[in-house]
Amino acid sequence: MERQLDVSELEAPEPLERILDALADLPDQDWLKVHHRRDPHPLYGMLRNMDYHWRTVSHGPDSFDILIWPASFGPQPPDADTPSC
Amino acid sequence: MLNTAGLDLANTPPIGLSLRFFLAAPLFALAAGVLLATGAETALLSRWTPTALATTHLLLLGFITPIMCGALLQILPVLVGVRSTVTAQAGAAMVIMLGLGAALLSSGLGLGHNGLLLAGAVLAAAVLLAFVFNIVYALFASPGSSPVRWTLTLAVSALAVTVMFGLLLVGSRSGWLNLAAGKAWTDIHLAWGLAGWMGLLLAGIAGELIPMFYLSPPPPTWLKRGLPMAIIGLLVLWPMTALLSGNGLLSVAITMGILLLLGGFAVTSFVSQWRRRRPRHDPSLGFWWLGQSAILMAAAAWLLDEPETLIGVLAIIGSGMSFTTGTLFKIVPFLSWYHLQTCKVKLRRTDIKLPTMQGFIGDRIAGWQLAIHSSALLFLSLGTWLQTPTIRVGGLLLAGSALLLWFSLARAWWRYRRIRRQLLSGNTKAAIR
Repeated sequence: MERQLDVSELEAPEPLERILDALADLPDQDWLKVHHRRDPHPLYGMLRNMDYHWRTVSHGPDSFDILIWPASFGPQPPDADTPSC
Repeated sequence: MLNTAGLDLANTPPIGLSLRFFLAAPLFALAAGVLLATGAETALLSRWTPTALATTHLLLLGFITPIMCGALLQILPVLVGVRSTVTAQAGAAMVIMLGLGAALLSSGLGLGHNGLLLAGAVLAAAVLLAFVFNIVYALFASPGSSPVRWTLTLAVSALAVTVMFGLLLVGSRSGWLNLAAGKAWTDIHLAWGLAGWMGLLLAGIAGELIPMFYLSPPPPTWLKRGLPMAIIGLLVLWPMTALLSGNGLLSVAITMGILLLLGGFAVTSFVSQWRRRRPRHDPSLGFWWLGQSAILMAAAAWLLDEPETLIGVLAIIGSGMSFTTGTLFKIVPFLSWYHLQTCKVKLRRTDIKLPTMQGFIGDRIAGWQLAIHSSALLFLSLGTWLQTPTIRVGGLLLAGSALLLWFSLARAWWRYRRIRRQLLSGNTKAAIR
């Protein structure tokens, strides 16, 4: 099941804090879709090493959707409708 | 449950790498303040007095440049997703060599000693050119084509050009080269340094950091791409003014073009910050407002044919120092928090609550810093007309501002190290405020 999180109205570093909190509370079979106003480079290193996969879709210079799912789901995003970047 | 095993900081340089640059910088602003206070009688009589030349290089090479270099090393991974290959040891050596270079070069200019000037210039040039090569290499190795990547590439390239023109001037002063129209070449060196290196880097950083930290709308992409290209285009034309000596009209046209572009940047930044989504009182933003205002005042002073020393004070202390200090008050707390957060996740220390960014450098101390720095700017600007006593007070305020900045940065680093030690220790009782 997809959980959604909008951090686009938060100033740094709140988006990163909220995403990490949401991942810590994420039930085993769920994944997270984050809406952000920028491409969050600092997040990706953390995700890689926490065994998460992610896919970022840009809708413009200040609109990004980041789909994050556990590596145990496999390399493809769980939501088949999500366009690839 | 999160699998945090093996978390590494491969893409993030150690925070100490940049903090060494930041902590060294205020010492040069302190020296500049003392120099202005003690040499107030002649300091701002003209831009060519030994005190004015020494002060300019203490501030530009000793204060502003190290902060911009240190900030660039840390924000490359955040903004562009790449890191340079500068290690902590290499960074520490750079800080020492650049500091020594700035001190020797400024002493050489202040004392009229060519040996000191030459030694300082060679040392500083070697460090800065190596830095430029490293950053450009990292930027070209990075994927993507974001406007900020291009702006940063142009900015560090402008630093290399500034250094090369600086070496030419030192060669001329030492009698090895015969540069006709020496003032024109000095203007070129200054223009590439101020508008190219400092202006472009700060404009590039502002376009990313201001929306990130203050929730203002980002500048339009055409502006992000167009402004750096236009400024570099005009700067490339500038050497023509020296080659075609006597062509004052060309120099005036280019200067006016650059001032219009920088003034446009200041105005669009004001508009963007006015429209921020969560307006709240934040003294660190005051440094950006002061810097933007100083750009507009410097442009007005140039148009009104006011003294060159006033334009210099507004550009260097009003604009350059304000922007860099404002940047420090945001990125030092952010980087401290980010590095600790990464460490916390890696160690699974869910029992420890990290402080907010305010816990590293608070609004109160930032407010004091802004007040003292603004006062220094006011007194030194007035000093270009009123002379000695006003300059002396301005110099002392600048020195005081530098001491407070050093204290704020040192305290933030001390807090970072204390919390990191707690994270690394088994002390689970610690409730970190």
